[in-house]
Amino acid sequence: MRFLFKFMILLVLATMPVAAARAHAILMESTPAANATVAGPAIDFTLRYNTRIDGTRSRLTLTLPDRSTQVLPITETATEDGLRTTASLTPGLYSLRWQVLAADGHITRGDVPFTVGDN
Amino acid sequence: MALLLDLFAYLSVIVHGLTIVAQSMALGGILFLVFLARPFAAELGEVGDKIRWRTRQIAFWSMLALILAEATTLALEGSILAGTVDLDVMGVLSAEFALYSLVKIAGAIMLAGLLVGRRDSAPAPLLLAGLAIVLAAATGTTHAAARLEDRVPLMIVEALHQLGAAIWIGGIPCFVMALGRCHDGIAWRRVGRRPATRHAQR
Repeated sequence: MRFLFKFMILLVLATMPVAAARAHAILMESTPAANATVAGPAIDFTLRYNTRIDGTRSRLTLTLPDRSTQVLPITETATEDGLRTTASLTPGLYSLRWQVLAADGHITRGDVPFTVGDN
Repeated sequence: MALLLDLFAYLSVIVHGLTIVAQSMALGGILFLVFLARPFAAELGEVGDKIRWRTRQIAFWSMLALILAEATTLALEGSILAGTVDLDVMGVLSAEFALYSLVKIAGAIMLAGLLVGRRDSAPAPLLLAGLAIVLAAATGTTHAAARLEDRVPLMIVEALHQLGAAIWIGGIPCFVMALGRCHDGIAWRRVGRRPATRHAQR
């Protein structure tokens, strides 16, 4: 029994690099960039990741200045590592919440806060 | 909702760790059975038969644990997807990672079916083919498969890495069990020398 317990610990430690190989999708760059101020009303959103992602099983949600939320349709997955959408926004503080499914099955989320300035 | 999703995500990481452990023991058990326990059986007589029987038991129960852990991972990650992206069951199961998981589960079920039963009669090529299916499907859900560049060579290295973990770590319970069932120095030397001899020949 003691051997089995020690063996299980050893096995978990030994296979940890294998488990760690299931990594997160990391947002490499976005338009608008985090904390950027952009001119409205038409805003084009593009997000690029470090891995292949499944665009049809990902979601972009916009938090509006009044804290309400709006799901943005993902209009185009131009590349296997990117998401794109557009929205018409009035001036104010916004936050774009992204959730992506990486090809390895890992789901990750993040936020890109930005400001739409006065024209 | 966000907290629940984070808890589900955390649980899926824990269960994935268990999947890796079960996979290593299951595949290691099959390799031990095919390349050591079966060839030994004739030399060791009654003890050899006991070693074959116990090796099959270890591989079989590990395979069941792998099936359970993989199905749990698929259910957890599928629930997160269904709850956040409004996908139906088919929408979840047609995702790339889900397809690989289903292939892995199918391969593990086939291997469990080959390992169960009183007689150790499953053909070695069939066992190794099932092992290759499980290993390939497991590699399909690693970060190497999600990479943008150099995907194929990285997947090959990843598959070798998982195979190595199965051989060296996953096979240890079978190796220790085999040593424990030998009762004389000659048998111990045979069990201990065989892997070393094969290693030295490479």
